[in-house]
Amino acid sequence: MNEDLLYDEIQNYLNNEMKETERAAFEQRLQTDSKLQEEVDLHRMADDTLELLVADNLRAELQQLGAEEAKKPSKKEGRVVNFRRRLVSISAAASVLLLIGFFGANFQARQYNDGNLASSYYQNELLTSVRGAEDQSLLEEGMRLVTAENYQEAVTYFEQIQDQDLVAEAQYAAGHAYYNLEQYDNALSAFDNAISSNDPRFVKKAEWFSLLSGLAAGQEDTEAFRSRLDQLIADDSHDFHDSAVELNKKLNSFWRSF
Amino acid sequence: MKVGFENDDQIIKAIKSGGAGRQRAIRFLYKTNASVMQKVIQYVRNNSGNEQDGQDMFHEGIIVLDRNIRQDKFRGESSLSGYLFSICRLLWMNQIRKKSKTELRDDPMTMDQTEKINPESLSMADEKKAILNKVLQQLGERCQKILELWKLSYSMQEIAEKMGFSSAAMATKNKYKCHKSLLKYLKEHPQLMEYLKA
Repeated sequence: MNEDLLYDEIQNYLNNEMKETERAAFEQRLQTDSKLQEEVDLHRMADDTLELLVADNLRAELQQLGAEEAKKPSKKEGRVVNFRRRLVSISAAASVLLLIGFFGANFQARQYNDGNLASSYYQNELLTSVRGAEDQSLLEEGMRLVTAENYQEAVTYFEQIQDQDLVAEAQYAAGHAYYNLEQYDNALSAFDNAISSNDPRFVKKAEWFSLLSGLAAGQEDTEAFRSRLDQLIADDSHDFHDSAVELNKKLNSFWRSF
Repeated sequence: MKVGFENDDQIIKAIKSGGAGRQRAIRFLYKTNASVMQKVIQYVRNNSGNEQDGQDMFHEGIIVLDRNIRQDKFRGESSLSGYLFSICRLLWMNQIRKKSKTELRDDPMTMDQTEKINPESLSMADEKKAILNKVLQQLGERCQKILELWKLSYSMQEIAEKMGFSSAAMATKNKYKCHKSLLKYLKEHPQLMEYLKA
């Protein structure tokens, strides 16, 4: 094939600019044509190289921007994010990132102990939320304390909440606060309470974090832990199904036996 | 002149469209996420780093965020600020792991899995950077600039204006020449790419 045509074809393929039929035919050829595969790999590598160039230049721009900002008098940001809304929207993309980071960099036997494994998956969504001061409820007060990383006091507020409409959220938040206090048994029971309250906004997330709490609490070999994990693995529509499958693989990993 | 962005969608659109709009969006992101930067610094400080490390992680986080948006890897399932913080936290976590990997290099249980690097001088990132510079040097500054603009979705007309070509067609021709020369160099030096892929 003409070199220029091949070049254009590969670029169109990599930039998703092919029609579906064209793409299918191209991929078919890729399966059998090792020279074509090699060419596509080269284009991909060139892309990676250029991404590094872009990153390098952006890094320099950001450093300059940082220096400019440092010279200005500081302005207090007043951005308030509705915590409840944030809790409901699952940060699946961030979970994926965590997984990529975890599996990409973690090749050492000693990293595969249960505490590290749990914390590699665990992400505290509460820390990424800032709640406003307008609401005076116990929940709000608890959240302010979480933001200030005063988890111990925060749980005393969350645990007082009895209101049926708020209890799932309060227990879910309490679970995260306990997790940060490394009180994994308490975290586990708080997440379990959130599950039992059957609020669809929190059930799936609480199931996942309850599993991580169990792992961090060293319950990996218990039947309860296995059954929770198996349940998530069996339910492929579960928001954390993929994470559970990967976690299971890691738990069975050869390196953990060291 | 209105330079701000009203919501995440507008920022994402501007970054994907590339060019000067992307630069404005990144500046806007930087300036309106001072609280995220503070949280990142706090997080890094609580995890064996210092303020400078925290600021560096924030910058690295924006670099990853920019790339993920351009490559359609960000699916909008969380706010950009939340996503940015998660990226920064993960980057720092990985950095700590790498450091402990280096420190554990003499442990016989892990020796086979430990990368062969000189822990005193080079982190993996520095090594990659050195290799990258070697590859890019072959291209020359002008080709680097053309390819960077192309990568950032500048139109051929914009590239022609910035680089002083007489027309978009001339910019296209030069872009092609530069890209081919990068491909050729990579083809002739497969061992360099092995490092870059690692």
